[in-house]
Amino acid sequence: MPSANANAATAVPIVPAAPEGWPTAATAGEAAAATLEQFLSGVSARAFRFAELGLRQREDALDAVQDAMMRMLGYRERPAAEWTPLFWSILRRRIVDLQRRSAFRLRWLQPAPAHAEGDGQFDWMDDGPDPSRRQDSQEAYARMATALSALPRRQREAFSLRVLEELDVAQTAQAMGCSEGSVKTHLSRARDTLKRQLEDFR
Amino acid sequence: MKLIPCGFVLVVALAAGPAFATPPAPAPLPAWDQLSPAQRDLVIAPLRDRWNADPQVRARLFQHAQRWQQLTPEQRARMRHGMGKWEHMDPQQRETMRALFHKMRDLTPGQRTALREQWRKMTPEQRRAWVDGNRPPAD
Amino acid sequence: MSDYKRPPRAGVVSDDDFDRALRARHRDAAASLSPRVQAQLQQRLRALRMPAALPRQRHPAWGLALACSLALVVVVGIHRRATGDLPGTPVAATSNPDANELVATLDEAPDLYLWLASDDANNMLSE
Repeated sequence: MPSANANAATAVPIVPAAPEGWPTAATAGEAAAATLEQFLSGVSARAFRFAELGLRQREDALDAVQDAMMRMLGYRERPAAEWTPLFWSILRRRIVDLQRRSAFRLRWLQPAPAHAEGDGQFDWMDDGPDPSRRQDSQEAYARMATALSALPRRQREAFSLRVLEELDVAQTAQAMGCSEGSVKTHLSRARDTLKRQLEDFR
Repeated sequence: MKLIPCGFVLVVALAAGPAFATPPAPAPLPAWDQLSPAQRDLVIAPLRDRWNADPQVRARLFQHAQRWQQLTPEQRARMRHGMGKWEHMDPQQRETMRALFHKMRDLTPGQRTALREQWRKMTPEQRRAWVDGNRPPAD
Repeated sequence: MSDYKRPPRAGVVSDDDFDRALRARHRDAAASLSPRVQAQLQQRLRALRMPAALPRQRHPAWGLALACSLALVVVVGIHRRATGDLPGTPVAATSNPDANELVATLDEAPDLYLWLASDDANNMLSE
């Protein structure tokens, strides 16, 4: 039956060295996709911490990170060098959106979701290799995170992105949607406040 | 534009049923973005049916659409060419090519060459047996 | 370990030292997420590839993007008919198979069709 119809061209079959258009021969699109997913996977834990500082609520933070990752899929064709400021810019805006929503919720509908007492405010693993060391780490972070959360939003963003995530000034400005001068201003104010509050930073 | 009228006529023919023998010449239709939502719905209707009929296939259809988005224009042209071949294949050939494709995509280039050699030497019965033993997953 | 030239006065810390210390705490914290949050992050990352499995969908734009992607591919299928990529198949009215073929554009991985267009596939089909 259609065996003869199905291929018009072949006379003597010659096996080519590399078959054309193999997906696993990493077409540019698929290579970009795999790397973007790797990028998102690598950044996800820090993204969660960034979101947690702004939202103080685990589920909202997870949602913000997920939203940002979903939106990043649309940018997979952009050069990989652009992904970092792009991702943080998207995540930062999602957090602002969610903050506004939760502020509305607080005001009009119901009390804020209860935070756990003390150290339980910020997500932490239940058990690690060394319990006493884990507790020190957890407490140290809780103090830092409390201080960061208390900062004005722009200062917190500048410090988180420039210092903790180590974006350069241009990337930070892009992620924050402001000038490089503004980044430096927000950053120095943040640092002054944090230094005062975290005397025991060592 | 030749593109939409034929498709539009096709779908109108589908909608009207098998007795509709001679479609009238349609008014010239614009590019996709200028179609009304109702017109677009009409054209999309077969896909919509398929989508709604079976929740299990949706993720697969979506993934294929995403992959298509990534293709360059040249790749899309090649893809259309390949679809032309697909449509001339009988079910057994399609089954064979699907099995080969899904097997080969996970192999190294060296392994693919080996499989090609092996395949060339197989009898039709051996090939059928190979396909039976290498059915692709539901994708 | 420190890179400032003179020892700090009591209570005064260099910006670099300060930044470095907080960065270290931040790194620790990123490595100390609870199992539940880690699992959630992994699941939500995986779910990006399979929209049916997404725990949440916030964006109406998501549905629109999907519709546009699918619509584009179906339009490709229509275009193939219109430009005569299917010789000997007039636009016939009987056409349940035609509807199937429109959506068949998405049934198989695009890469399958790409491969079919290659000599490699040609050879294996023809033997």
